[in-house]
Amino acid sequence: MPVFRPFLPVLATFLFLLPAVAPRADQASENSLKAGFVYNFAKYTEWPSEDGPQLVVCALGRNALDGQLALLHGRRIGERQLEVRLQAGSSSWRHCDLLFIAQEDGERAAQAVRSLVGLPVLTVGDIPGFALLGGHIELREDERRLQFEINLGAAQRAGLKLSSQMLKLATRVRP
Amino acid sequence: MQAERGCGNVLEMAKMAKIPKGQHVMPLSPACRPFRRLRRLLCGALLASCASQGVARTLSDEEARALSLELLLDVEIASVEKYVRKLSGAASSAQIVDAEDIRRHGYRNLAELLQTLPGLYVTNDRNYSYLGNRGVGIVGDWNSRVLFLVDGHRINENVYDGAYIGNDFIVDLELVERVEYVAGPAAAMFYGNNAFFGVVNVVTRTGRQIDGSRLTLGAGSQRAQKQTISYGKLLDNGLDVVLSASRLDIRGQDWYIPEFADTARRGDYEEAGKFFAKLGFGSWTLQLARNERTKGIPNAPYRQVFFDPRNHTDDRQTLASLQYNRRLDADSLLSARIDHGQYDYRGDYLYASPEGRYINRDLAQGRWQAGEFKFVSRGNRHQWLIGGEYRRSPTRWQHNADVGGETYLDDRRSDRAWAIYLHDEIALGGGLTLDLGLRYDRPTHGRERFNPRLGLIHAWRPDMTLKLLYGSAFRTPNVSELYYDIGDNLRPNPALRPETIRSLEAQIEHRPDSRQRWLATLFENRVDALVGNVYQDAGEDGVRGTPDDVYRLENGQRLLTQGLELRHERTLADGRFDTAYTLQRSTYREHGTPENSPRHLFKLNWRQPIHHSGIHAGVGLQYVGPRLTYAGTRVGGAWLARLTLSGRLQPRLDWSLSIHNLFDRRHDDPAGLPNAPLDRIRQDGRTLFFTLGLGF
Repeated sequence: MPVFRPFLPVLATFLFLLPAVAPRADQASENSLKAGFVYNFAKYTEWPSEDGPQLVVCALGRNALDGQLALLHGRRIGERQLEVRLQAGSSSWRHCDLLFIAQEDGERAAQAVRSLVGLPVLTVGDIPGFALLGGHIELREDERRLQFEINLGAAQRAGLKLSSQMLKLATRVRP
Repeated sequence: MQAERGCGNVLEMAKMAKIPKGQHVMPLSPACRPFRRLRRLLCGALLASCASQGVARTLSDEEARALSLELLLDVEIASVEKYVRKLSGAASSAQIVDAEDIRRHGYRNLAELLQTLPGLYVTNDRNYSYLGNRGVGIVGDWNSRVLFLVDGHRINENVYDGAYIGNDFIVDLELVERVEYVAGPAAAMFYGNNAFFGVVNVVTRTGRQIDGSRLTLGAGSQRAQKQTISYGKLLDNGLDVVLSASRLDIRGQDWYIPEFADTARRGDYEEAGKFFAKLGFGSWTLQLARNERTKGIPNAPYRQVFFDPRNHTDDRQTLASLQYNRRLDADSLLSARIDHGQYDYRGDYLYASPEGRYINRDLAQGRWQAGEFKFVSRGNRHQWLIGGEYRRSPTRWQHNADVGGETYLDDRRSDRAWAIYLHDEIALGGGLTLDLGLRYDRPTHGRERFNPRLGLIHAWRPDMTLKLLYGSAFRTPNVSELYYDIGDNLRPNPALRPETIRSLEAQIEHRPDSRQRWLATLFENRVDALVGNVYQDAGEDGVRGTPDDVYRLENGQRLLTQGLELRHERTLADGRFDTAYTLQRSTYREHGTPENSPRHLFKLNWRQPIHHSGIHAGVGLQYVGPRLTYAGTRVGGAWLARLTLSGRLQPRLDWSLSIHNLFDRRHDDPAGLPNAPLDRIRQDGRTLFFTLGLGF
């Protein structure tokens, strides 16, 4: 299109010589953000009996969230200190306060959710359809950001109390 | 709380409030606003100063883990794949329909799904379905002005450049994870020819997403039957497998056609079979898709005798592709693909001679190979992409002959085309992003072409975004428009030039909260040298206005379309509620309003579980305004409703019931010129379809 020919050099200049400016929003790696979410979910949840100095966060895989989950170990929520247990076997799930199920372990998600029905273990997963499956909190991506969905019915049946603050920020709350 | 979202660099804010790093960071009071305004002022005054200002940046993992919930929702995922995955860059907004929508609304094919999207309308001539958008719906162009992709691979064939979107679409909707649609020539930057009025990308599910086997049985009105069997799994050795086959058989309806004062008995049947296989391993994906369809045509187009059940078309398409995606480092990605495509068409048309009826057989065959690469890299402020494609068409063959008689056409062509393109998204700071692109094409036909694209995005307020986009594109005439000469009354034209389009779009997006989105879009398209049928003479009988009038394809027409689109999308507890209204006006500079161009379109899509019943309801309501036919008559506007109920009988057994055209409204679609003397084609009344799905 000859009309645009004169503009080509201008365009090229823009493309490659534009002075240094910064991106429009903060960015961070996906896994560190997900670990941040897990910490906050624990913070905004009330368990029926909060005894013991430890808040136990379990994950199925050895390298959950590319190691970012394990780095939450030792962080405090009020009086309690996070204890991260990796490679949690099915027999130990009921002893966790929070169970994180990553996409890599998606095939075991249904089993985990089923075996924990009614037990006060907060289940968090980044598997599409996790909340629909009966998981308590599902993490998901929307365009460029992370969002979460809450299955409130399942959480209530497990005796967990999720703060209204968290419910307000969820993209979707399933009754 | 909402007002603070997206307020610059979250860590800077934390520092300002003297909250020690690593501790829980809470969003700040309106205190950050003056700083933000100051920064924006500075940025405006001197671009370069933004660099040291650091409006926003990449957080370390430690910082990210320490953010509050509110701020976590605001941070973007730093990933080069995200950019690649986007269909058309930041300045254009895609509409997305996902697998859940497909299931809950009971869409049976792609045409039905697209019909529910803002600004789109589908015209059916009881043989093929044509997608109309932005006020242009040309019956008989086989969708050559919209580019259709499956997982990013072009499916428009190379004889008519057509894409088939009814039951003749190449992939079964049960395998679809989502469908993305971008209006206008915005995506032409990345895909070139045929991405003229828009691009539709169909993304198929992976084995991991399907995770198991499934058998679906369906049956419905007009003696429709459908069977689908599919399997998908991520195996222990890392191989991701998808296999699927489906079969559809519709006996159809007997149509009384007033123009012929007669009924087409068993003339509307349809049979389709599909096969799909996908293997993924590491960076590689190998895919094979195949569709075969036979359709009876009840309305005797192309001046055939009425009626003969032998009149039918047969379309077969195969696409094999190999794709390679590799992340080179944290910020760059290489993607490459090769495709092989095959298209075979056969149409049997019935004519009368003194010796009796005879069959005129129309054949087409297309073979093509394409290679493509894309390299994407992210820098501190640029996200740029360089890509190229090469396409060769060893076979573009058209043939027409009477069975056991004379041959009228045997036209064989082969050609090649290539293109390179460059795209950059530049964050200017202060919420401004510049979207620049340039594409160079060496098309099969006509001279070389440059097409630019220029977009500006302004995150004006945390809940409000403004977008401005200018783009241009072209479409080369296909071999049918150029050379399909069988000596009848619809004449091709070997001297046709490419059509061009220039488009300007302005959009405001408002998100009052995380569950709602309002969109208002103003658009203007200027099409030059649009290819269309132009009246030549009155034909054998010397009377104008009879079906034997002679028309020839010409570049003559200039078309201007202006419009406004309003959309509201709402996420419900377990559903969605979307409405859209489009007001548009298309005019030819030479002769007024084009055919099949509605002024008003309204869409409503609502899906939600019915209170405590375990049953989901999906409701669709669409209005298409009055349209003109090629003959200058008017087809009235129509409101159509669809209801789908779905649920589960047992954990592994699910069901769904769809009622299409719920209130049994009589409605017509404008017919194309080949359908003369018909100027309109009656559409289906109320139809039911029931499915049972078993997972194992």
